[in-house]
Amino acid sequence: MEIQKVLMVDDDQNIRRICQVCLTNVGKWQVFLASSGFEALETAAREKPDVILLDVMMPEMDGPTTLAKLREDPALKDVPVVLMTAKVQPHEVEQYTNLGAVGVISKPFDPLTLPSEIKRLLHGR
Amino acid sequence: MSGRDDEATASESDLDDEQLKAVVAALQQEYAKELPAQLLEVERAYASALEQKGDDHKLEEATQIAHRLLGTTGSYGFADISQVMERLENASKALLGKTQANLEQCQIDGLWHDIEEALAALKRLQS
Repeated sequence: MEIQKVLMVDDDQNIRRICQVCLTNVGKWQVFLASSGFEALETAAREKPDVILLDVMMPEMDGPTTLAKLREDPALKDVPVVLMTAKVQPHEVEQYTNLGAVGVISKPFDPLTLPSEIKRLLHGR
Repeated sequence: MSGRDDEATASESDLDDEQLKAVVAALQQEYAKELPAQLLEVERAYASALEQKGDDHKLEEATQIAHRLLGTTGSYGFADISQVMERLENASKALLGKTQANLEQCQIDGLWHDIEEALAALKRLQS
């Protein structure tokens, strides 16, 4: 699949910022940002991204809960979701893929290689 | 979403490799200015947890800050600080929810000692 639009969801502004710069300039993708799970659901419904990068640990609505809500929406249930979290354990990767994530990117990450990592996960589906 | 996020869309697209590296370096420098305040936040959270060692809520709060900083500092190139955050998170997670019924007191003391040592290492990195 060809990626054109990416939705990046993280409550940490610094992570959103560096991801946006690299996804835009290395991936050459149109990047939409959301700072919460609620905002992610709204933005995803409006923009119909090709892939969603979703932080696991967020206040109010965490990444797995947001993922579950995306999967309940007929218009968004097939959008690939990549979860991001610090220090991910193998059993957590399995748990998240069982929830419907296409993969997990561990933080810290190299922002310059983030787009290729996303492509790798999407092509490995 | 902040205005700062929005600014990036207009000003930082279609950069060549050198320009991109310069933008990333500028972001790292900007983050470095914020970092002392963020490290103070984690230090204060752990100081509070150390004062009330039986209060898992305090330790949980501190752990969440360490977890966040583990990812952010490392992604901005501050690997040493990210490693200290990992030490803090590892010791904290081992302690959370543990009582003397399922963890020996000497193990509990050892994990708190790990946290104190990691905080001391953080101080050294900042000096």
